This record gives sequence, structure tokens and C-alpha cells, in this order.
Amino acid sequence: MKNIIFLMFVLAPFMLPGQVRVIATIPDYAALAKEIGGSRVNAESLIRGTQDPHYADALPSHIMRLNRADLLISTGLGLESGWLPALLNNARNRKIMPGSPGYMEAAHFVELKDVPQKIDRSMGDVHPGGNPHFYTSPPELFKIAGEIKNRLIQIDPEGRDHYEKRWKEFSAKFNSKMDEWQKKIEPFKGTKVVVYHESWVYLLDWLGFEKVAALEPKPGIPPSAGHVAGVLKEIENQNVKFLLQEIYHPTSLSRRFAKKAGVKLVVLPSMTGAEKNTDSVFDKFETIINKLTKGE
Amino acid sequence: MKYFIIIGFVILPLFLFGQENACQNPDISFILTAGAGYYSDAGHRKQGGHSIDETGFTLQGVELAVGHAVDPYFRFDMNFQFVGMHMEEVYFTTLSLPWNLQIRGGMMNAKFGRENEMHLHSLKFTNYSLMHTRFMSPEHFSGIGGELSVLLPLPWYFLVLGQVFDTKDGHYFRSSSFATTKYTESGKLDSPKDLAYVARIENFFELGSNWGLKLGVSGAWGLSEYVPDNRVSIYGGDLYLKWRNISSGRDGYGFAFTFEIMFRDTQVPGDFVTDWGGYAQTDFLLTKYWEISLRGDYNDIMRGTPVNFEKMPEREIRGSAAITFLPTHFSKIRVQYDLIKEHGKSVSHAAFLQGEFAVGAHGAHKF
Repeated sequence: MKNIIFLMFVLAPFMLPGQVRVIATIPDYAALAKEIGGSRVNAESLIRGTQDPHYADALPSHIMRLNRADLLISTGLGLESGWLPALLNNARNRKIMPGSPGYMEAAHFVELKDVPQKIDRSMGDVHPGGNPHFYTSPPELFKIAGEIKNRLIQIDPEGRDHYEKRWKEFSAKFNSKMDEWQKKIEPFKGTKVVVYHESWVYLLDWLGFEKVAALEPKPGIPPSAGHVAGVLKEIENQNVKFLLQEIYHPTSLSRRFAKKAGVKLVVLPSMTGAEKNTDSVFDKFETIINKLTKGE
Repeated sequence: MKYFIIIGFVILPLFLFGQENACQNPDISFILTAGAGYYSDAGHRKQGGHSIDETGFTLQGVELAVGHAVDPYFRFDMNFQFVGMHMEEVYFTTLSLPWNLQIRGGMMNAKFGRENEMHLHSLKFTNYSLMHTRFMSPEHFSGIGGELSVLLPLPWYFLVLGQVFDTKDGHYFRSSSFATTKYTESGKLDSPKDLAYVARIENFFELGSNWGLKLGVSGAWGLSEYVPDNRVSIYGGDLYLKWRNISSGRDGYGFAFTFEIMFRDTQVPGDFVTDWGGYAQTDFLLTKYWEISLRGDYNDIMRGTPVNFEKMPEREIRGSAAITFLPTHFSKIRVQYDLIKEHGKSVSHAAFLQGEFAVGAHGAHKF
């Protein structure tokens, strides 16, 4: 009897029927799946918002998560190429293999920027298919949310009404929020910024901000003293207001640069959960807008 | 030479046309590992394989890695080593078997412990541990065979696997411990017991957001080269503990501790010889660009008298320290110092400088 109780206890997590198990590579897609799926969905992210998605570890516990998933949402464009393939090849789950309805690469559903015409590694760690940091932009994330809704309906057709209802509510709220954020940012359009890494192109386009320079001389190449000195000279008299970067890039050099250049260093949550009170996509963009408009 | 020509013909078109239709073509990469070394004792015991074994320059490896899904059911992976012109691994993997099963077949490394699966470019040092060379192989304990593994439906990662390797002489079987069928009574593969077998259990535990612990136990059984139809057994345990400062956003900082140990029973004429070895290694990840690694190696004989002291030397001790600079995902520069104490000899020293350069697809790394 004791053995049966123990076995039931051990197997219990895998015997809960009904919920669609969504595994996302980054927390934003998991947050969207929760918004749209509600109680019918159990969504989890493989990495945290505080992590650099280029450098995550292929934890064996992630293999277990993928093994039980009904839907995998990844960014694509090589953002997760250092760790996701090792997990997927060992997950033994045909439902989430490429080509299945349970495998979704978000890059296929957005308008890509920075797509190189010619690619060479001497240009840095450039992604051949385009810039993969589109999750920093509300309109692109909204397109991804729409596809998540479609996939959930495909995987769980019985929940169609549930997903459609929640999608309607979500899209109404998200569109109204986008209008609100745009109004708030309107007076700041044209603001000039320096970025640490080339991860803000989608957000800056949506905000109407202008990128003047990047601290990394080439994507993924750490800033050198010579390059930073060059950027300082380049931005002189350009009225640059902010230096933008993610939480996972070092701030010591950025602080020194910001002080010398007379610009404000703003660490923005590029992904949900990157800092306190950014667990939903609404909170994430609210925080971004507040930081850029109020200097919070 | 013929390998160069064949591979050139196969690979060149893929490089030329790969950009046009990337999703149809396999991921291809070349990895160059080259270095220079200095030994204070020119008569030191050589590790073999792709180590920098002598004072001077060494081309350690030029590896070609190719991999891609064949179809929804199979994946193909290959690693060809141009230094020494040999196939390191080439195998298929099933992707969608039921009941969490997976089969691999072809020529592959034995899944025994942690280090035997690692290719040269995955190491934190210029050389493999002494334990690896002594018990596994100067390269890898590997061969042509098959593997069946199952991921158990438990709340944590729990993998059970078994492998079997063909030991026929001349059939790419590589091992420091096990003999080929040349050493059976008939000199041929007579029965299943003449094959080499590997079993492994692997567990992983996520300990909060920043810690991960992987534990494994392995066993391998095969033929002894000292007495026809006699046996060798190896048992091993491995632990890998990693901390990364993920939750605070400083995920470039961290450290990893690895401990691996092996015991081997070798049947020799009228006796058994038991020897053991292990290493402990700590890697400090200072930033995304700098790593410091420390390793202590120890091998010794526990019981019995070896027939061949070259293959089964008495006590070996080595301490290593390495600093690695990683300008990007695709290049590494490493300096390393080794302090070596071989049985019956005084302490000697070695120093290495190594560079590693990869072109092509960025391969995914296991934990």
C-alpha cells in the first residue's frame, strides 16, 4: 500500500490531465501563453528574464520540461542555438519537433529587422536570419500572441471558445495599452540613444527613438577602450539622452561611459521578469515607458 | 589524401550554396585547435591522443562537425578528425520513439562518466585528465555499436542507458582498458560476451534558480588483453555542480565543480589487478570572456601486480591551472600550467599555450 501511495505521489505531476503544457524559451512567450490560455494552459519559461538568452545552459531539467510539453515556443534566428538543439534532440517528444503544430518559432510571425545581405563572422555574432530581439517591441509581441492563440486552438480544439474569448480581451487591452504608451512617449520621439548591444532596434523603431551608436564595436564583441573613446567623440554635440542596456550586460563600463558622455544609463527589462514587477508583458512595457519618460 | 578529396567534394558545395537554402543543409562547422607546450622533463609519460605531448608546437585537432535532422524520425551527427585522419563519431539518433525511448547507432563515444563524451573543444584544459587516458582512451572510449536509453517519468531528470560495442579487431574499437577479439581464444568474435558493454544512470537536480547538480554512475565490461577470454570491469561515479548568478542578472559569473572517479578490475594471469583514478576540477567563470580552471589528477594501483606497467603505471599525480580568454563564442585562447609527479621520478613541470577557432554553425553544448 505504501508503495502505491509513493508511486502515486511521484507520478502525480504527470497525471494531471486537461492543461496544455507550454514551454517557452524566454519568459515573454510564456507570459503571453498564460494571458491567452488562462486556466487551460500551464506555461513555463526555460530561462529567466535576468538571463542572457545567447548563453543559457542546456540543463537536463529542461529536457524533462520539453519531454512533457505540448507546445514549444522559441525565438529562432539562432538566438537559442547554443543550448536549445541539445535539449530538443534529447526530449523524445514528437509533439514539439520542428514541423509539428507544437513547434513554434516566433521569428516566422514578425517583421524582421537587421537582416544581413552578406554575412561573415568578422562582422561579430550577427544572426544570419535577422535581429532576434523582436520581443522588445509591443507590436511584434502582439503578432506572436496571435500565433500562440492559433497554436493553442490547434492543439486543444475543445478550448477554442475559451481561447477566442481570452484573445479578444487580451488584444483589446494590449491595443489600448499600446495607444496609451505611444501617447506617453510622443513628446520624447526623436530622442537619441546609445545602446550597449544591438537588441533594441525593434523597440527604438516603435518608440521613434534614434540609435546613434553601440558600445559593442560589433554584436557580441565586448566594448574596447578604443571603440568607447570613439563613441564618446562621435556623440559629442549630438544631444544623446540615454545609454540603453539589458540587465545581463555589465554596467561598470556603461556607468563610466554615461558619466563621461553626460547621458543617463537606463537598464531596461528586455524580457518579462528581468526586474521586479515586470512579470507580465503589460508590466514590462509599462516599466520601459516609465523609465524612458520619467527617468525612473 | 583520399579523405581530403572526398570530404572536400562533399563539403564545398554545402558551403557554397548553404546560404541559399539553409534549412535544407546540415549544420557544418570546422574547429581548429592548436598549441605549443614546454616540458621540463623530456622523458615524461605521454598522454597520446590529441594532447600537446612534447615541447614545441602541436596541431591538436582539426575537427569537422556535421549534424542535422534526417527526417521527423532520425537525426544524423558526424565528427571527423583531420589530425590523424579518423572518424571520431558518426551516428543516427531516433527522435520520436514512444515511451521516452531513444536509440543511437553507429560509431560513437561510450557514455561513461562526463569526460569521455567531451570533444577536445569542450575541455577547460589543453589535455584530458590522466584518469581519462588511463581508463577510457587517449582519445575516447568508443566504437561501432548501439545505444538504448530511457528517460524515466519521474519529477527530476533520470536517464538510464545501455550501450554495446563491437570489439572485432580493426573495427574502430578504441579503449585503454578493453581488448579487441584478437585476444579471445579463437581470435574471433565468438559470443555476445566478447562485445563491450556500458551502462549508465544519470540524475539532475535543479537546486533553486542558480544551482544545478548532475550525478552519474557508470559501468563497463569487456575483454582483458592479458588472458584470452578473461574480463575487465570498470565502475565510475561522476558529479557536476554548477552555480551561475542567474537570478541577479549577472549570469556571466559562476563556478562549476566536477568530480569523477573510476575503479577498474583487470583479469591478469592467475590474478586480478585493481587500479583507480579520479580528478577534481573547479572552473571559475569570471565574466563571459574569462575563465580560470583548476584540476587535480590522481591514479594508482589498489591491488595486484600489473603485467604492463606502461599501460597501468603506479601512482600518477598532476595539478593543472588554466586561464581561458573567450573573445567570442567562436574563439578561445588558453594558457595552462601542469605540475606532474610520476612514480619514481621527481616533480616536473609543463606549460601550454593553446588557441581554438571555430567557423560555421554554432553547435549546442550539453550541460
